[in-house]
Amino acid sequence: MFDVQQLSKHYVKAGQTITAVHGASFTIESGEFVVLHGPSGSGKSTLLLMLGGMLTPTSGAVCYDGSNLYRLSRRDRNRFRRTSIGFLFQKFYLMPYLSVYDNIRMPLLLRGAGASASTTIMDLAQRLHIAPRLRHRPGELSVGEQQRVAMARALVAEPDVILADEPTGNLDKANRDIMAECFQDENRRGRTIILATHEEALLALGRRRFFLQDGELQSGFRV
Amino acid sequence: MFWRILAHQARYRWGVTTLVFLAITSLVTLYVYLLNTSQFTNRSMQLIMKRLGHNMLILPEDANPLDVYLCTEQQKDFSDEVTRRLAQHTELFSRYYVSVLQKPISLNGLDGLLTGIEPVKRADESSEKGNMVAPVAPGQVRLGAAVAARLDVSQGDLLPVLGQTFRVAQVLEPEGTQDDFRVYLDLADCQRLLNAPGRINAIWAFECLHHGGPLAEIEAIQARQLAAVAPGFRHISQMPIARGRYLARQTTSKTLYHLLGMVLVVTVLIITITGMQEVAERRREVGILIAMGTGFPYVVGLYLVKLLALAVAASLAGFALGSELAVDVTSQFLVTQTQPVTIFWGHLPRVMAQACLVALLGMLLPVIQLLRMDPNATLVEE
Repeated sequence: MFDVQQLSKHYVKAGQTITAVHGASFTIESGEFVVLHGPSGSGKSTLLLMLGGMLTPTSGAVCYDGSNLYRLSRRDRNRFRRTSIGFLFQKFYLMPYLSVYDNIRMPLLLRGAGASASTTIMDLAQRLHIAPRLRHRPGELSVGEQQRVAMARALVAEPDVILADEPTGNLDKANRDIMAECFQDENRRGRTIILATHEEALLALGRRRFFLQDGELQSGFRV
Repeated sequence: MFWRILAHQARYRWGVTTLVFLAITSLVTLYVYLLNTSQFTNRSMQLIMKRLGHNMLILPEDANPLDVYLCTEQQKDFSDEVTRRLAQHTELFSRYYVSVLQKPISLNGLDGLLTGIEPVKRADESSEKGNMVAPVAPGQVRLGAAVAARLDVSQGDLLPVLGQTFRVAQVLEPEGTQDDFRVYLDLADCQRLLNAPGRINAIWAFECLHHGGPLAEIEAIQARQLAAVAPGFRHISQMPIARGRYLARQTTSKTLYHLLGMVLVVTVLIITITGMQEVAERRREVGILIAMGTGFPYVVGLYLVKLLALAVAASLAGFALGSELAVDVTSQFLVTQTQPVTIFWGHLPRVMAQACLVALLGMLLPVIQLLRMDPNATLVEE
């Protein structure tokens, strides 16, 4: 699925070059559950964005099913994200003016597949315990509920890969457990999960762990 | 999804949406009002200034203008065909021609200026743009105020002139010029009385300023045109009248359009500032939309389509408001009005297109800001 070769990303800020990721090489097979962990600022988010076709690396290659993402046209890379990737972020990024239902439905509509969405959305809402909240706006939901809506939005178009960046960073234990269970469920269904976190409690979820320190991939081992 | 996001987003940020709508509506209202009003106020001002009378004399090159001013016996005479020839040339800046034959005479021992007149219509003169001088019917006279007072005659009286009796058709209001001493009569009657068939001493004319350029330029063009159409003739402009008309014309049109320019700047600024604020507030949306596989054209489209929809709606509202204001308000203060103030429906498509252009101009900086935004930075910044 993912074949990453000598991936590096450097930023220049105030005249100084900052290395976010340096020389990372690894492969991730379809259906794997990978946890990226490391301290804050170690390059986890940068690596996730590069895997998701969002951030052009300074050097190296990210191949997905044999295609180098950053040699694709912008349009093809957009299509890759639309059809293959579900993003989940610490801050949810829900559209404040759309209902929960419309927020979840958005990826389907962007794929032009919104007509038969109702059953899928209801199923997901029930699994994530947000069914009674579908008509509400995100601002009317608790933080935990908002993250579950974001999770439903990431899953609704059934992407092959879920890229999750600190998805439980703002959650209490109960909500974190719901999210963890959902990740495991999705992985059992065959979906590839790549989860960036610095929370010890989530490390056990992954069958492989990568540890990042100062942009360097320290280890990648199977649990 | 595009339209759903657009509609919900506009409703959610109803304050900004309303502000932009009102700003564009105000601009269009003012623009349409000024566009409509300026046409009628300019026309009104032109008509007021036109009442100052003819502002141009056309004479043979070798004629001494002083003889014409003082109405001496030494005045040159020439064929009245010249006036008719000039009237056939609609490209000339001069118009509203009057053939004039004049001679000092004594009426019951009092001095007067016998003045035969014949207004000659140009082919393109409408009734709305009529000659300032009305013709005098054969067998009648029109008297200047001083002559009438000295002779103690009034409208309807009979007046013997050089052995022939004429009926006084009108006594003019005092002008404070030599015109108060004129005895106007039909040109043919005057030519017969003076035994000068087909002859005149001068042509009164009116210089039109529709060219719009500086007065000196208009004068030069008129001189060139006249030399081409009537060689051997020249024009003498009465500059105080010409200058007054020119300044009045410039003032009425420029004042309104400068005001419009200021409103335009304010509207563009409102759109730009609200646009930049909105782009800043919605930067996370940009990030997540890109992450979900849309491109920047989709995101920019969300902003521009909403703005254009607002501009179209606001231009319709502004057009209706501005037109109604013009019809209801302008007609009340126009002191000279030959056409009723109306709505110019033909301006609507142009007004809508201009409103959209102004909206796009205002959105230029916000769109640049949007395109320079790094969606990744917004997603990982906190």
